[in-house]
Amino acid sequence: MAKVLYIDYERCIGCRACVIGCEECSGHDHLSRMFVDELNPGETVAASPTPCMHCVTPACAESCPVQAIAIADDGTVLSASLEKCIGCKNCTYACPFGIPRVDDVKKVMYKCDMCYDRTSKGRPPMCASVCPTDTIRFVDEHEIKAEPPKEVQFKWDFGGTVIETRTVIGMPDTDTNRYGFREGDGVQS
Amino acid sequence: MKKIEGFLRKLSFNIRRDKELELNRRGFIASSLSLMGVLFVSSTPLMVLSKNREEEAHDSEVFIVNEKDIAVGQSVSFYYPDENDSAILVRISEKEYRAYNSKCTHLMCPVYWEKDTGKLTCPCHNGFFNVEDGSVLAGPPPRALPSIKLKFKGKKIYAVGITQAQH
Repeated sequence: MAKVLYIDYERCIGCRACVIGCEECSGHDHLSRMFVDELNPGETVAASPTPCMHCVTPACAESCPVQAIAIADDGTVLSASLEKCIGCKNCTYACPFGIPRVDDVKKVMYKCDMCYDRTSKGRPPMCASVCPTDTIRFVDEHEIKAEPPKEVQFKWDFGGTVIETRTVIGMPDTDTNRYGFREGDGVQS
Repeated sequence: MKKIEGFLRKLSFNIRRDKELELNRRGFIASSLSLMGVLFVSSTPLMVLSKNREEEAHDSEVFIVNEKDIAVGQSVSFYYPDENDSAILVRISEKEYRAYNSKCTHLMCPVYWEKDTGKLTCPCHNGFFNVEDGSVLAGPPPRALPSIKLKFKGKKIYAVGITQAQH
């Protein structure tokens, strides 16, 4: 059974271990494919680690004029083939999540390939291995989508175009929480 | 609707790595070359058939003309094998006769014998046929005239068979 990334934003402490781990992963050329955005700097440490969402119908691959971005057997959307990529940046404009980046020196696109060297052999990707708070987890796709431990989202509506992703995001509990702190027993001002 | 969209996606985006080789440039060239090969092989029975074209034998012997009624260098028109197939008989020397279906192989205009030039001539588009074997000398006709077999019985000339021209 295919395994996917499950990201629970509520657990993230913004340590950026995933970014360092991604840089160190072999084949990643010291360019991180994981991006950690701070949601409200100064107010809170809440952050959102964002790897590739690995869409079922990836806009980056479909927009690529030279078919450099391929989908592997298990559904992982791979980074552009170095031989094929022409650095046209179509994928960076097509991706609704803003994941693909282009190395302006080499003129080659790079994006998260879920550490395909590792995941194709059953090992978890580097970001999931190094995450100290289990924010990023490498779990069974069917299990996390059918019986999630909390509210999750893996279908995204972009103005009528629904995109289903393999990466599953755990939704923050916004009813009783604010920016990851419990109302009342968080940091008191 | 979803199925149609999925089918069109599959058709237009070659992004699955396990199916990458099915229709890339090399796959396209390989498939078109093999299609050409299949068409070539499947046409060989037709080639054999066209080589084996037999002379159409007709039981009917059609009387054309008496030998004394046609002078050397003259022609007589007749119908063979039935009334819709006009034909022409030419006496090119004392003992030599030639008979052909007189429909031009271009657009079926009637061919006539021109004595001065010694050619069978189609006036519609200036087609010329060799009187010796019916082959095309000039003009638009694509193939030779069908020739008609003759038989001589007691100074009378009969038509006994027709041979479709080879290309």
